[in-house]
Amino acid sequence: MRHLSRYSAMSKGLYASEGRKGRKVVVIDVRPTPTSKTADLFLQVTPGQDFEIAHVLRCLIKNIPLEGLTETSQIGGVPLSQWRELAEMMKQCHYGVVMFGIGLTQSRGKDLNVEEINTLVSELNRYTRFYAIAMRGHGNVNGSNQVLVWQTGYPLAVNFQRGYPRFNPGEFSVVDMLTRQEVDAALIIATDPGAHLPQAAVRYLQSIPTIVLEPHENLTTDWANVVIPVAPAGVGAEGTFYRMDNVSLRLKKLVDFPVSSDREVLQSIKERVIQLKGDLQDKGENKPC
Amino acid sequence: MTVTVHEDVVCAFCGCLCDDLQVEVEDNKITKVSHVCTIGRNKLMHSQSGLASLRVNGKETNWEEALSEAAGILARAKAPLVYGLSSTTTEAISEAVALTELIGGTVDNPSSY
Repeated sequence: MRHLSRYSAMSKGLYASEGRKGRKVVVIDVRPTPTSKTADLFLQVTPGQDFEIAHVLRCLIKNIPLEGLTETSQIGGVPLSQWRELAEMMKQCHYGVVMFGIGLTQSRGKDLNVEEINTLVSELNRYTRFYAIAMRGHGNVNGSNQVLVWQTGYPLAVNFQRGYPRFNPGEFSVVDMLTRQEVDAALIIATDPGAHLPQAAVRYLQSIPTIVLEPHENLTTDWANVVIPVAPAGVGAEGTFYRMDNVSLRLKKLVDFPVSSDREVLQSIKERVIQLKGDLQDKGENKPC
Repeated sequence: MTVTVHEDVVCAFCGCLCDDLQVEVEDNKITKVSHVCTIGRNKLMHSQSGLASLRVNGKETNWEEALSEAAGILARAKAPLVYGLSSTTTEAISEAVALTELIGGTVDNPSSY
């Protein structure tokens, strides 16, 4: 909620000492929002045309002729002339940032929309300095991508079934695996799938043994088979989080909690699994695939 | 009763991680949060209430039983899923990745959908 005041629109920096006055804010969204009301330029677009919009901006920035389009032609519900105005603003600024939200991945094209935005930003760097940042949801979503990249080489959707990491969103991503009913047990840590995942995915999750590590009661702890309370990070447990611009910050412990941290509980579970795996192997059960 | 004032506290709620919060703690209870947005304040002020209880299949239990049950489920599973990791520390995430490798599972976080 303090994104505009601390980081994007109003913050003052070495080369932006005027704060909001010396800055242009453009909002592209499918409906007016409190943020769009504060923007210098608000482009209300029709849903589902993110790829086309990014592609037209790329063409305008590279001066590629757009055959069959006039200045009044609509792209994503906005006339070409306005996209041209935006393309000029982007080219002429000293330092621009595209902050894109999760909505970009929800329309047709999904990851290709993000790739098109990244290409646009990379091409803008021929004219000026430009950057793209994904707007993150919860505190350390970025941190889990960082740790996974550091330890496996891939940021998300990593599978270890063959003993080495394999990466394939769509095959190893949570919604797809659950809706295709491909997993037979789940360990949920510091997230509430019962509140956020699609209904079909939640229904399947409810039908398999589920363990939850979570400080507070939520829509997943209601029905999970094993609920293990933990101390919330940054309140009852210290540790590192990654901010959405990839800066790591140390979180303090503020108060004592009667329970252990996620890390301690995961370590205990890991030790017990090592023990059990050994026992099961001795008995001839659980042979490696 | 002594009041401890924590300066430059990092708010763990959203990806902004605002790191200029001031939190007052009295008798191990958070009593005041300033330099913060409404969501961050509510998250911190309510962080010590509504706590989950330790239970297996709906029944309250002890740590030993809960940890053993959890380990048993994961050790026996053929295709376990480790999911979430959006509001915990990188140190815990690192443990979760090690555990996933050990059980031959899949690990994912909310940025995949």
